[in-house]
Amino acid sequence: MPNTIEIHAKKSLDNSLEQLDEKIEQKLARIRQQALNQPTDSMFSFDFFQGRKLVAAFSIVAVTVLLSSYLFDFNMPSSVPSLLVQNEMVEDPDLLNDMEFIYWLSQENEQVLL
Amino acid sequence: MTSSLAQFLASVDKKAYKMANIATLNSQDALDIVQDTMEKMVRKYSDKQPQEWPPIFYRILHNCIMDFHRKKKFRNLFFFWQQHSPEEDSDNDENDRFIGYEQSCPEQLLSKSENIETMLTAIESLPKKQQQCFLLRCWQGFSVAKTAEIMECSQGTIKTHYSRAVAKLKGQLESLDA
Repeated sequence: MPNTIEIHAKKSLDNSLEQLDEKIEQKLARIRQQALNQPTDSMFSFDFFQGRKLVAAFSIVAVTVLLSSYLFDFNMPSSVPSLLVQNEMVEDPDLLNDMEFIYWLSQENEQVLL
Repeated sequence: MTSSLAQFLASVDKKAYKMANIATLNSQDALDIVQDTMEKMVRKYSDKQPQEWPPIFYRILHNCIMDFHRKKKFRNLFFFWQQHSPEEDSDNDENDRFIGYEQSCPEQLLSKSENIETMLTAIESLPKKQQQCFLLRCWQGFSVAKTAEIMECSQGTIKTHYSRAVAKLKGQLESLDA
């Protein structure tokens, strides 16, 4: 239940609004219009996130392309047989036997000469 | 949404101006505060539900008014040699107070204006937080809880501010009548 002071104050304040100068009202209308015409934060955030999405998508594509080309270079088919050949040469038992035989023969020859 | 926000701003702009004018005692400062408030409202809160707008709007207004007083205090503290003389301030205040009133029919408005002026002067003389609390509760009709939310303090503080403001106004008006 409002007391007399509150009623009096409310009435005085309401009446003071009715007596506002026209120039002030015009300025308030202009301020209101300016405020409504400015962009909102939601507009900024939409553009910002759209930009981020594009950059993120581009980065993923770029990284994928670079990685795939890098991996492709290491898995070149031409390099595989050469490695296999090298391994076969080292581990060929016939060749090892031949080399052992040659070494034994040279040792024998040296003993005969002495 | 924009048209309803425009309607809302049109419905509160005069009251916001008056509250700022009572708090700053300067028409131009009051207009600057209303401009800041409206710009922040549109920029940050236009996507909120319309029923949420009034407390948000008055919270921004309250913060802008408090920022104004903080800046003024800081300015007066560090730039004390640039302060105006009290006579100059009081002259400006008087002029600013009368800027907002029509000059068209002074005879009809004379007694009404005297009453309004007396009450407005009494409200202007209140401490800033009591003044804001009184205007939000009594004039804008916010509940204790909403006023506490707007002024970012407890409901007990709001009750204290409000009862002190009413007591001071009563004392001032009674002393004028006597």
